[in-house]
Amino acid sequence: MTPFFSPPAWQIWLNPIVRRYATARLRLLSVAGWSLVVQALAAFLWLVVYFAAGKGVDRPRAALAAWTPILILQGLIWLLKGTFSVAVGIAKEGAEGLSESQRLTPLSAWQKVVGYLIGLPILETTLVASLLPWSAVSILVGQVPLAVVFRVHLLLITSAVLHHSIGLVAGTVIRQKIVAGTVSQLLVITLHFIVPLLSRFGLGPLGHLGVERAIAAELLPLQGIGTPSAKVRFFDFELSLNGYAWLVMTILIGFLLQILWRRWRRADAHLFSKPLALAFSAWIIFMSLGETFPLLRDGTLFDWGNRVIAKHSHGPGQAELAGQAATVLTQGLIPLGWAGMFGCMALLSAMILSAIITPTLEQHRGARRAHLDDPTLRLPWTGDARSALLWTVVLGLMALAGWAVLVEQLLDTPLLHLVITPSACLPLFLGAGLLIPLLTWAILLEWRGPKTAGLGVFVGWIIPVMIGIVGILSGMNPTHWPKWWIGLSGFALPFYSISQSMSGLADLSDTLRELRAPWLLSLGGHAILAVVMLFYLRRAQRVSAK
Amino acid sequence: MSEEHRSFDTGVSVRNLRVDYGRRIALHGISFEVPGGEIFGLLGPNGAGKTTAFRAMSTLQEPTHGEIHLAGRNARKDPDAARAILAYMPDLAPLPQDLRAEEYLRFVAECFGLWGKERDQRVEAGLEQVDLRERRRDFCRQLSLGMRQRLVLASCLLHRPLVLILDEPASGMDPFARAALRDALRAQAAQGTTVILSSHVLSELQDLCTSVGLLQGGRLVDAGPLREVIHRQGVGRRRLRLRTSGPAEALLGWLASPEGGAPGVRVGQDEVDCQFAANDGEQAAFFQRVGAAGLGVVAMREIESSIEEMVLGLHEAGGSR
Repeated sequence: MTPFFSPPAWQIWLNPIVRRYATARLRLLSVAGWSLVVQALAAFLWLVVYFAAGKGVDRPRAALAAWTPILILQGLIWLLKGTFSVAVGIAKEGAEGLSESQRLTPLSAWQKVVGYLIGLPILETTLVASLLPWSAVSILVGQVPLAVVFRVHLLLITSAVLHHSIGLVAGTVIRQKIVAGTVSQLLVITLHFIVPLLSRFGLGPLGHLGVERAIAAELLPLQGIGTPSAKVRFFDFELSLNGYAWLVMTILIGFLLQILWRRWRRADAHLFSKPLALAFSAWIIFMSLGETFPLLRDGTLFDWGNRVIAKHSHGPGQAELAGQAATVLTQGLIPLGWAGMFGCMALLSAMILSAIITPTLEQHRGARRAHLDDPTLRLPWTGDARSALLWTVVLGLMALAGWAVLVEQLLDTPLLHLVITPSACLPLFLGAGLLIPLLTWAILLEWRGPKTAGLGVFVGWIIPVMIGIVGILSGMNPTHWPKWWIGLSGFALPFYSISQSMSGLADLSDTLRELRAPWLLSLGGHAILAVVMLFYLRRAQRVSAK
Repeated sequence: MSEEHRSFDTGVSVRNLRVDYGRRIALHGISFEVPGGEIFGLLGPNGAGKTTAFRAMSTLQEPTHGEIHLAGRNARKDPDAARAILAYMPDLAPLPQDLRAEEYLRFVAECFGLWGKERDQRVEAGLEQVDLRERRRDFCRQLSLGMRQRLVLASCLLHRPLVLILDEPASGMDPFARAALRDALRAQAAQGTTVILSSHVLSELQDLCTSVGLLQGGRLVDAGPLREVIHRQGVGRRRLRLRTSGPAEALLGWLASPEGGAPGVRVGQDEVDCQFAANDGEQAAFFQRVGAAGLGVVAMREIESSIEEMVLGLHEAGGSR
């Protein structure tokens, strides 16, 4: 037997997986071919921008402008192509069985994670590095401060690690390489174009994962555009935009690396351990609240509602009507709808995390059989095969706490606190509206597995909403049968619960009262369903081990 | 083989190993021990649970229950320690298509903590051992199936494992490569490595294995030294094929009688197989009795018992259940 020398994970040049990909992907002909293409593109972009921008401005300013296309090219190679290579590469390793061979080597799980993270996109990293001379010319001629150079590259590197981690998780979970590659590209597009839109509605932290804003905040002031130091408002603090973006990305990288580490330690491990799911949930809630509070306080959260009204009120006699509509909307529907939406998203995120940590009946069966064979064997509380129901309750309580704090802040705003009176039962109503559908989902999930639970949600929670919406759009009065259809859905319960927790909305109070019956019926129905399913789940678990 | 190699600190111990795939139980709590330096063949029909047992022993499959010790290391509690002394060659093991043969061996060597001159020497020796020196610069995708199997075997031997598990290692190999494989495995066992393997070429196992385990339907039916297992499974009984000049009914009746003492089975219009526990003297007496009985027997020959019959017998027993 050979004495085993294992280099530490941080010595990436001694990581066998990095060396394996350096050998396979940095062959002379391949690198030369790619370099030719990339250098030609870089030269073209740099020179075009330099000469185009050089007309009428001094050389430093033109050189600085020419740095931007180089950064964009680096971003495309590293973030887009690199992420694709990572996702496809690891999915291919899994599909061909090479991951299993790798699993058998005595490298630590961290060495394997770091090895694939650095090794799979090594060609792209080399190409990005080959563009640094163009950046250097821009930096030197453009007299860019070294601190800016450092921050821009730190953000770019952090963003690349984040993207590659996402690609690695996608490729690890999805074993078909084409699907994994496509999903990774969709995730990158979502990260850069769709998620920033969501950030306008209170999901602020997500808006910083695309890195463009932070890098633009560094570069634009040098060109005389924008303020020298962009800030992010977080609770009562004003934080530097790039520092905040870096922190958000780094924390997310930490969570993704945990997922990968767990999967390398055990192929069938859940993506999150149960405590890690709680930590992730706490982080998302904390960050969302931190970014939403300032928007709530100055009312900018509802600006888009006013903009929509203004856009459609240009006709003669429309102004007064629009004013009334704006009052109803900004002081009633929009805040209520928004609070319901936040509750719905809190429910959805708790459902997703619950799905990640819920054991299959097979896992439960294995654990019980092992226990029957050896009664001294006890699963730890945090074990994957342990029931996730209690953990889901905790997830639900955390989501509920976040939601309740937000609703309280909403009602405290100058816009609403004189108009809306919260019911004394507000926490109870919110709790019922979130916890009952969440537990119904969790029990179904643990009893019948994710496919059946997903189908159940589609049939029981999404189709009724679709029917209700079609009814409303066809001219039906929403307070007639559409309210019953929509009320069937667990996703509607947070909205209905919010509506029943408020009073004082003169124009809306009659409508809201109409929702009480379907709300109570739906809550009761879900609660009964949950209890019945819990009975069957327990029976199935008892029988399963025999 | 020296005595120090024959201890369980260098061997394999499996106790009450159970693996469930959903509702199906793939292994029903099997137990066996293989001392260091032994070559142990795990035999059984398709679906008996051989590959599942191999994967569980190799730390790739988390068992539902049970203990696995590889050369003294607890494979379930400390899989990393077990992996350092283990090599597993799955059936048709995959190879990275974008690496050359020698690059692949170098990569595997580094994964097992071999660096510098030591690594290069072992890679050279590995290529030599599996007769791939001429093809060292070929990409893995350019190698034939048999060559790939040989390359994987070389990669398994690089770090000189104490436990070597091989699932159908001879797949795709030509007779020369198979002979080389047998020599390589014997050499490993002589150095104290515990070798556990399965193969569909059962005659090869008969030559190679010092002990065997019989798996059927996820249960270990028998295990131990090869001769003992063959004897216990009834394969050690003499099997004779008798041909008659006419219909075999009279012969069948006589065999079933106390005088015949060896119930037979018709295997053709005029042929009957019978089986009985006997030594050479008793067999000679049996021939005389058959001749004296005037049953029209025109030919008698002994059918050699083999490991193959044992597995076929298992398969038939499984099918009739």
